[in-house]
Amino acid sequence: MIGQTMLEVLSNPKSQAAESYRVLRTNLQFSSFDREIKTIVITSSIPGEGKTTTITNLAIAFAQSGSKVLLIDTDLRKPKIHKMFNLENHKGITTLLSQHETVQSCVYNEIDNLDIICCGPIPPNPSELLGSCAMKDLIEGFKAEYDVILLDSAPVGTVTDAAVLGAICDGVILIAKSGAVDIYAVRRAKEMLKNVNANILGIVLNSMDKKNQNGYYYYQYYGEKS
Amino acid sequence: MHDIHNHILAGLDDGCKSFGASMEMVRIAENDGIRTIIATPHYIPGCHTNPSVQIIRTMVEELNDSIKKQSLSVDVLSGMEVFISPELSEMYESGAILTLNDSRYILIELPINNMPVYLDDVMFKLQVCGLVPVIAHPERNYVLRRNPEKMIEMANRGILFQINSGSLNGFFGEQVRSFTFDLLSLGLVHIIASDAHSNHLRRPELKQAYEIIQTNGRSISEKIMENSNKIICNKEIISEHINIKYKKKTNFNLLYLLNTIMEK
Repeated sequence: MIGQTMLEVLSNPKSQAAESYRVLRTNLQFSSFDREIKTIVITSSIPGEGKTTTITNLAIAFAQSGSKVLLIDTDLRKPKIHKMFNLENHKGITTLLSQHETVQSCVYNEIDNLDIICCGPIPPNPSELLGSCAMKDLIEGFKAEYDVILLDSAPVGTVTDAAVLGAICDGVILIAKSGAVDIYAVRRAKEMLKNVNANILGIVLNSMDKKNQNGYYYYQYYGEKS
Repeated sequence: MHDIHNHILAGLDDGCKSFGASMEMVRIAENDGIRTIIATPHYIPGCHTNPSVQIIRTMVEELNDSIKKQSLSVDVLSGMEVFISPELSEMYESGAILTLNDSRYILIELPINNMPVYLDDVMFKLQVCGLVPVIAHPERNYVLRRNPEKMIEMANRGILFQINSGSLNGFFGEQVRSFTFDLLSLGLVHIIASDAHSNHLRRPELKQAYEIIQTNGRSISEKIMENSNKIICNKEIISEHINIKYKKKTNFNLLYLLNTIMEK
């Protein structure tokens, strides 16, 4: 069974957190007029800001709205998506890029409308693999099949992987964990993404302290009373 | 107990010399409580004296036959200890090398004094083929002893480490022994095997090694024992992510000294 604790949208669909993920989804759906946004990279400035939690919940929110979603673990340094869904990590994007497996054998389908590709064995040269022509071709191929492709990546402030991916994808979302990351680190991350002409769709402020939120009282009114 | 690294087949490498000695090794193993032995003769790519897959399988069969005749209860399985080389994945795909009991686990030997530059590349290629590399006696490699961070990095990539029972009792010297204990406390020991070469000096015995580990904690010893079983049954070994930074032992710790001065 799926590791439910972090998948708020599934386990607790009426919570504030789940609602936030759905708001994020809707914002993304309407974020662009002139350019269709299909491939989205999620990254952060430093490790541990909640990239994987956000991306998995967002993927489920997209899937629940009827879009056909592909979630790829392109964090080739510390892959985590297979742990969120309790999947085996023997096959994945790295085996696909090394042309050892077919796409069908690497795709897991745990939830309706949501296909998942794990990381696979961790390679010695992650950035080169992600920047390869094979990766570009692979993503182009997926674009024909899926409505939304979400890519989880390593933190942009630490390694270059996310910038490499940002250059070949339609948009980038930067996660910032409230109270954990320095503002200068976030600015630097933004700068690095701008350098490769990545299209930054926005920043998600994660782990907000509820005490500092004003004007959210009506959630209790609309929410279900236990 | 199961022994996954053992040079029990006679005349193939620097291990056992005669069939009689092989049988003697089986008896020693049985008395020690070992139930399964994987025969892992050396395979050094590019070397003309390498045993072929066919020879290993027939010899394992012969040995099992005479074990049955003498009504001993040890099972011998086929395998190889493959020396690292850039073409390992191609050799595996062509069927020239054997994995441990035809499972996903492949036993790989590193040089004693240096570290090949193509190590990470080869490991990744093998993993892409669906294999799990098991590094034989990393504690005997000079470079890894100097640089355990490399081992943590490798373990986090899903590579497993097998230490020798002889490293725990000091057979390979004090340096190796103390390093092996460091590895145990870091959680970098996945499997213990005898790496037995004969019936007198490096014998197929594991009991003493497991007893030494039990002083470090019962659960660790049981987990390591279970891992050998998982290799034989081709089940997945799940290793946890290691975050610890390895601290070198020094008598004079400058940082500590500075801290105490600052506190005053």
